[in-house]
Amino acid sequence: MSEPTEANVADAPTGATTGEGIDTPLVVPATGDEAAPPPVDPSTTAVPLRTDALSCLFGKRVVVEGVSLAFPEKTVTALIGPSGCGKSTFIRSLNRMHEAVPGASIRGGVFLHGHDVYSRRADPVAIRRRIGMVFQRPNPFPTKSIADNILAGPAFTRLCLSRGDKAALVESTLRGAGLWDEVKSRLNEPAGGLSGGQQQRLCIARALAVEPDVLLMDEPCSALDPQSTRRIENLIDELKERLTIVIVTHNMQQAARVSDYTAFFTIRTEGEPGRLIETGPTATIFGSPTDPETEAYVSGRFG
Amino acid sequence: MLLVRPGHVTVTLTPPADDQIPPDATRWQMAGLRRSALSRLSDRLYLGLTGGAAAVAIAVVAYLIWATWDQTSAVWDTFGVWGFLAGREWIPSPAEGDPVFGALPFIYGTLVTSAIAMLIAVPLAVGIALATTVVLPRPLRGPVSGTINLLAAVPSVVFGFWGLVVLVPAARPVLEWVAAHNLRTLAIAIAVLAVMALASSHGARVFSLASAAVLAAVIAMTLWDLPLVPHLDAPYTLLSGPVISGSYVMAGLVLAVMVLPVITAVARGVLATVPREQQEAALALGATRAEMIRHSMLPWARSGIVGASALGLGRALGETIALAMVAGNVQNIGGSLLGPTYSAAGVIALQWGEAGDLQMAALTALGLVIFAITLLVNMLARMLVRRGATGPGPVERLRGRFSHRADAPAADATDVRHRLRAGNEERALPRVSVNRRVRSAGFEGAVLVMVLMGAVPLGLLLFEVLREGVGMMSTTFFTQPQPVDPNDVMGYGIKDALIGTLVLSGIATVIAAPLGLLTAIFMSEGHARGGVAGRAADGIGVFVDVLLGMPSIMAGVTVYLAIVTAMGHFSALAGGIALAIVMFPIVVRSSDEMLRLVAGGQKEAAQALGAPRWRTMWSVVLPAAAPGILTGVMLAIARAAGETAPLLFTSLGSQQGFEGLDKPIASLPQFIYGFLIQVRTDGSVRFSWGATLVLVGFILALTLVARLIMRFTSAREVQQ
Amino acid sequence: MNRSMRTSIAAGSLALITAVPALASSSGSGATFPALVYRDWCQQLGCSYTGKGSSGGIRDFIAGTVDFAGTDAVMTDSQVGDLASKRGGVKALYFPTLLGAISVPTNTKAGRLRLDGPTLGDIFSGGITKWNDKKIRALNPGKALPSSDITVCVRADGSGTSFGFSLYLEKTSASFKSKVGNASQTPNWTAPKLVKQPGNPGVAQCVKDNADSIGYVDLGDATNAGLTGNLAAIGKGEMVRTVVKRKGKKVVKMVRKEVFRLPSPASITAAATLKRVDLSNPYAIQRSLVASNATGSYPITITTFVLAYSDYSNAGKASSLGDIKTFLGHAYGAGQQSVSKYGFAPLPAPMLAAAKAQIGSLQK
Repeated sequence: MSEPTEANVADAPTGATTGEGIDTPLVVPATGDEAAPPPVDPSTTAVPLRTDALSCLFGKRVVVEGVSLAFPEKTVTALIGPSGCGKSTFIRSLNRMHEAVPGASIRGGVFLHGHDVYSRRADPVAIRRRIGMVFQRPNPFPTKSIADNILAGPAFTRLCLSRGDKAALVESTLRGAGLWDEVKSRLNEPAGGLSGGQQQRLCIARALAVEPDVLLMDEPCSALDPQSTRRIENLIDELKERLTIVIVTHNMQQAARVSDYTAFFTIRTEGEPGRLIETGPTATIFGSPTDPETEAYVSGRFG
Repeated sequence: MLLVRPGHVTVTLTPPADDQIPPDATRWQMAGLRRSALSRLSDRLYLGLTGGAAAVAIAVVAYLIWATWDQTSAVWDTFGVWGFLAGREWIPSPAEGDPVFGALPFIYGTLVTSAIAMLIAVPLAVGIALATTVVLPRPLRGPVSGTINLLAAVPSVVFGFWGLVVLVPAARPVLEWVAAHNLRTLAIAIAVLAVMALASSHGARVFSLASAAVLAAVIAMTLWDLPLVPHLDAPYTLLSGPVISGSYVMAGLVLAVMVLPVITAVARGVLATVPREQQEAALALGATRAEMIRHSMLPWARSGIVGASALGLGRALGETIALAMVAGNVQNIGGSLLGPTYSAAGVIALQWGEAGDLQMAALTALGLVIFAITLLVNMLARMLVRRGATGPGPVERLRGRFSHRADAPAADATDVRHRLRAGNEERALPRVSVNRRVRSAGFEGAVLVMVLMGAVPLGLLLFEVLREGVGMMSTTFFTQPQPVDPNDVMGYGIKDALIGTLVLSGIATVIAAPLGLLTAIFMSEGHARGGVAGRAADGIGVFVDVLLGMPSIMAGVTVYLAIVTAMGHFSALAGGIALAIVMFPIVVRSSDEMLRLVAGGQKEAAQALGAPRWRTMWSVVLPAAAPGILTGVMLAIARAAGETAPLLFTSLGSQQGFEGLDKPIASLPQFIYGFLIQVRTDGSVRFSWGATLVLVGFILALTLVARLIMRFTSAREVQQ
Repeated sequence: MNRSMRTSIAAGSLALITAVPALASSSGSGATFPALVYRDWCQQLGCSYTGKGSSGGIRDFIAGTVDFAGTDAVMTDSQVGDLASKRGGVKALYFPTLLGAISVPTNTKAGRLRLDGPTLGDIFSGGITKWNDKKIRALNPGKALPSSDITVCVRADGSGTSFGFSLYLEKTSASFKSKVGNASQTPNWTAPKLVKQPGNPGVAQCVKDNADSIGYVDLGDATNAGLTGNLAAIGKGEMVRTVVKRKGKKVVKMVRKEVFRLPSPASITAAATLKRVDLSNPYAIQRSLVASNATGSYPITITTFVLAYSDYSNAGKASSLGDIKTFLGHAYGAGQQSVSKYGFAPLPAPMLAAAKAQIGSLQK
């Protein structure tokens, strides 16, 4: 029911209507590559999440500076860049997980369907339900059963779910995460007993169970073996039919494989904040980047 | 070519047989393969020495416990096991006939007072631990938790004294009101308990539930006036008056205050280990802080909280001095909770000194019963922990189980998903429902109330000791002998008691520290070697855990039976040995943990260089573990220095200073206890405050130094 | 004794933890009734006394873990047997040291009460459970007695004070004797609302802490606890000089009347009427003091004893004999002067003489 319609997309302020803050080439000239997604036209494409000159700080230290990015609906955007460039901090600030660290703060804005996520009236708790997150290391609740892990998020909403509802939700969510067949016989067993890859898919399922609009993934495969990584990449492919995904990755092949758009962050000298260098359809970034630094990075010459 | 010199395994390997040595091996190479006889001998000596020390220590303690058990045979012969345990009469010197000894009233009193204490202390402890890890504003967390940590080292006689002089008079009007409004209060009490049960969770709930079950049994017994209730004509109700100075509730309150810091300190340590990722996992799902605590932190810390509660319960069950002061000391089963009770440890302390042979055997048996209950509690807690650490706790297991039939069609969750998405409108920012916000605020409010209810009295205790005690501080207080006339305390001091405490802790340290450390080293080596040594190390570990749970008065009982009677008189040496029994398991446990921490990489690095075992231990492991071991020893001294119960029947107390190891000697905790029993005037109370301040100061100084050592050395390691 | 020297010895041995030659000093334990006085004496003599109750003292004395013991009670037959079997066949010698009163503090709104033996016997054996019982009302006409239950504070540990008090009740109250029994260090009180506290100060504090309560403690501890105004005046029959008219003439006659006495040094001293004192029968001495009918005497007066071994060598305590003699010498000399400071009375001349004579019979 809340699927975006033409009407409410038009209502929502987009990059085009806000004007100056957005300097990113959301509309990138098509490269002619067939694999590339169509260029984003803000007037026709819904953008559930975007940032406006977002800077992230720890105390007085600026870690990421002035990033304006839009994440088009039902696409995968990969954030790449060398270590320490602030990708993780940036992605954590999108659903206000950044402020869970003592002393952390931001400047600029993050907009969910055009509403400022950091406004005084916004509640981080509610925001995080709309913008889910998967972390670098699998972090299921180890003492809860597999089923209870899935139901943890819905339980927070205090929605009254019948036993049947719960069972249906557990099953469909686990199916959605491609984990059902592996765990259906041990739903009541503790989640701590799953393998690393299974745990990470359980975490994805857990995040999906609250029906977020956007899913943030902070290097979700960095702790996994290649086979588990491939399964998660396949899962990401399926998930983008349903929701918008932002993924931080160190693995450039992964970025190339799973994402529609890629944003390249870097840090020029030690002590300076990380900045967004270039963004565009993944094929463009990997094929013919405009910035020499991007080119150096994607071709493996630095970073 | 063999370039690798044999490592640490040499001791257990037979040297290579001749035909395994390459034919072209020179003598030089052969020498490189074999260790010198001296080197092998040194390792054997090393293992023998540490193993011997461990064996001696264990054998002595085991003998003491066996001798204690042996002492009780008269009881079992006379009354039978069941007759003693279920006996309701305890009449040491009847007007006519034979004396009768039944343990039930004391077991009952001990269990009920401990249950009250746990019901109050566990939720408060979890609340304070949560407050100081997540809920309180950051700048407040350090001071609050630091205070609690320090209070965990404060000896029980101080709590008893404070309870007697401050808490009991303060609680009196409240309890009088309670007694006057019997039923209404019961309702309020149940409501408060319900709130506490809601706020605490999981592991804490297990203990609260157990305590509630014991209390429910008490309520049932009193409401229905079961035949268990003796000599009561009128039906008695749970909280009927009159309010008297010693009662279940008073004892429970003092016990609660006493175990609160211990449980809090351990629970806080456990909660602090909850990984960030676990907390963030809940937050990222859209949990409020309260929900994050309940769904992520408490389940993770559950086993630790159960362990902390078991530790607290063990202390409460074995507590002697505070209970002897505020329990009323009348054996009772059932009856009003505002009526008097008698604890097992309390009756041992009060009747031991005058007991005839059979009575002494009965008291000893009672001590062993309490010891056994403590062990049982620890074992139960450990079982719970083991089952709960990796999976859903008993509460969750009972709730919603999912089963899946293989042939079932794929479930349709469209409707649920639909409902879950219901709030996700794009017109406005998402909101958290009022219901959730109220619940979360309520939870955090409850936590803050618990901090107020728990930490404030504890803070007041420190403040009170400081305020009342400072007035007594002067040179005379430290250099003059004890006062005699309680109305004329000025110009007297605590010199003798202070010297006594130093001497007793000194004796205990000289005995317990080396034996404890050697035992810990043997355990560490035994585990590394496996086989017989490994099994021996395991056995020692279990034994040390058993000793850790021993009520401290049992140390006094065993030493009296084995040493005081053998020597023929009370002595400083006997007191020191009793304290050493208290210290020994603490030293072993803390040293063992420290050795384990180092054991990993550094040890292997040294062994890979070809160092023999003892050298690895001596020049690599021990130096690295030394600060931690020293800290453990100092904390053990702090614990021993504050003990009163083990000294009552061993060092006796004295009006003079140190007069030789074979003479009775005074000590600060015993002086405070004795001075209160002896006399209670304004002057004596003020003097006791002064002595309390010195004792607390001494123990806190030890604790602080221990902490500083740890902080200083760990900071240095980080710098490296 | 040179204190600074002893301190330095203590400090030195603390560093070394080696045994230093034991300084000759003795230790005693036992009755809390005279504990303040004994500790005062020890402070001057260099010995040490630990108040733990008469029964505890007797036990330590039998076990030989102390050099002397304090007791208000008389050793039971089994205790005498234990002593002989465990300490080389020695006997205990009883040295009375002072006279003291067992006061009966109450804590009611009615202030100071008048009570007597039969009434107290009923209260402590459970025959009387409320303050407005008619027997108490009869003794206290005009007093507003509360209708509440009586909380009875007694000793938790075995005690000579309990022995003395139950001896008094046994002699004066038939119902106490039938319900509770004879005098004992640990009487099996049958009052329904009991609170037991260790030590006489504990009992005094118990009375102070609990409304509508009653207890029994030595005068010194009652005074220390601030209970002086609440001590019951104890009634007893005394022959009182009375003027009666007989055939129009005034005749002075001795008439037995019930009078109420408060504990004080004078009323304590007045209770000691024995002319011939036989220290080998301490029970008789206590019985002669308790419930004495002597004019002006307080009826719950007892003496308290120091126990010494009849033969210190056989008891395995040869080295302590000198100390004991010093202690007793002080007790019967300068020490007698200081007892009144703590609410006790010095020994009457016959007892003092007998006790001094008995020192000579202590054997090495």
